[in-house]
Formats: sequence, C-alpha cells, structure tokens
Amino acid sequence: MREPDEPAPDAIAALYDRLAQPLYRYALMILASPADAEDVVQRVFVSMIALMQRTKDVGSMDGYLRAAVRNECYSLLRRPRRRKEEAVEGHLLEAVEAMADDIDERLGLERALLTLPPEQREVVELKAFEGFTFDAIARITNESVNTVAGRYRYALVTLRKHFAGTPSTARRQDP
Amino acid sequence: MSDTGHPEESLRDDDLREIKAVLTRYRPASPPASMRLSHEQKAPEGGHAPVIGWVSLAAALVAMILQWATTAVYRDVTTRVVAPSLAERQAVIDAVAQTFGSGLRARVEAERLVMAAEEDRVEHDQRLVEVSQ
Repeated sequence: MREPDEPAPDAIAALYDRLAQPLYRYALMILASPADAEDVVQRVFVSMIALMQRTKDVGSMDGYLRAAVRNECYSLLRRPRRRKEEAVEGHLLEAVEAMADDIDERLGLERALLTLPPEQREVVELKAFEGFTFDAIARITNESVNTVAGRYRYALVTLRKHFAGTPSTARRQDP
Repeated sequence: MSDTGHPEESLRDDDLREIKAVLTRYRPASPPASMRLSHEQKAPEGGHAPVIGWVSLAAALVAMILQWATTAVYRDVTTRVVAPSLAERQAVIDAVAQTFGSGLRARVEAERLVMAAEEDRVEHDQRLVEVSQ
C-alpha cells in the first residue's frame, strides 16, 4: 500500500505525458544527441520521484524539471568523452506538418544548427520553437535579457550564413 | 554589404527574416519510441478501433498480471539485495529496470520498487531492534 506522501502513479504518468516530450526536445537542442537527450530526461524524471515525496504541488514541477534538464545537459557537455555531434544529422528536426517536409531544407537547417554553440541552440529552441519571450528565456537561463537577445541574433546570423549555401535554399532563390 | 567576419555586420534584418521563416516550418524531433507517451499508445478512432480496443484491454490485463507477479518477486529480491553504497544501489535499479524492458517507465518502476524495498528493509530492521529490546 502506498504511503500518504508517496506520489500517485497517475500523477507521475500525467506529468510525464505533459512534460517528457517538450523536455526531450529542449535537451535535444542543447545536446544535439537523441541518445543523450533521452538519458538526461530519464535521469531527471527518476530523481523527480524522490522530490515529489516532499512536495504535493505537481504544478510547480514545470520550472524545476526544465532547470534540472538544463543542469544535466550542461553537466554532460562538460564531460570530456562525449559523443560527437556529427553523428546525429537527420535526427535533430522534424517538420511541423509532415506533408510539408523538405528533406534538403531540413538537413540544411540541421547542419546549420550543429555549427552553433549549445547556448545559442538553446536560445533558438526557446525563442523560435517554443515561443518564449526574451524575458522568460533570461529567467530560464539565468542570463541577462541582452545576453539572450544577443545570442539569438548571433545564432540567426550564423544559421542564415550556413543555410544560404544549401541546395534547397539555392533552389528556392531561383526565379 | 561587406562581410568583415563579424556576424552583426554581415547580414541585414531582411536576411534574418528568411531564416526565421524557415525555422517556423520545423521543430526539434520527437522522442524515440522508448519514450513514447501513454496517450500516443491508445487505440486510434475509426472502424477497427473497437477490435484494437479489446486487444489492448486484453494485453493490458495480461501485462498487469505479469507486472503484479514480477513486482512481487522483485520486491522480495530487492529487499534482500539492496546494498548500502550508491553504486550498488544503482546497479540494482539497472538490473530491475532491464527486466521491465527499456525506457523511462521501466526505470521509474525499478526506482519505485527499490525505494519500497528499502523502506521494507528499514521497517524489518526496526522490528528486529524492537524484538531484541
């Protein structure tokens, strides 16, 4: 029988269903490695169970889990023998609408994203893919608004430069 | 505009709008199958949904019975083998998780079992102390 303070399996499952996918995507954009991103999210959710025994407010877990995933990601990046980022080409992005998927364009964008440092990819993920404001991103990353806005612009400039040379882009620019 | 190598000087806002537009067509890839969410595993609506629903229900019942039996066995095993060091504890969790398959749910269940076993162990030790007194 469960103890009164033990988190209900349904609550854990609901939290997992709601947050595992966005947290995986967040980790994926920082680490650029599906395997590492999966490991990080798994570790965070397992450690979360112990925390849930101390707090019953599941709603407050969103920010905690994102911060935990972020810490795990950057901790992993600091390790010397990490998998090479080049190995993930083709597994970093997906089209919002599957029917509109342009393989050349997607791979070109992936290659461009892989040239960015993790901190810039993180801001691109939070701003362009998740739609956070710079204020919110500053709170998540514990940086100033100017810093995250600068990272975003640098990232866009770098993406544009690398992406401009892809076959798909060249094709789109033809009259 | 000349390209001096400094990103801020090399492109205009018009150029950036293009890459922003490209970004809106994509998002980071979905998690792998081992992390699939429970609501994505439900039967789809349509002509075959009732059949799939019954098959899913039967499979779920079988899985529940197996889970119950496995849980009982592993709870007993973990109660006996839960070790004092963190590394050994992690090894126990890994071993139990492997028996449940792969992915997060297996690890979560393994962690829960080991924690339950640890609590049982503490209660057992407490009873021994009380009896000895």
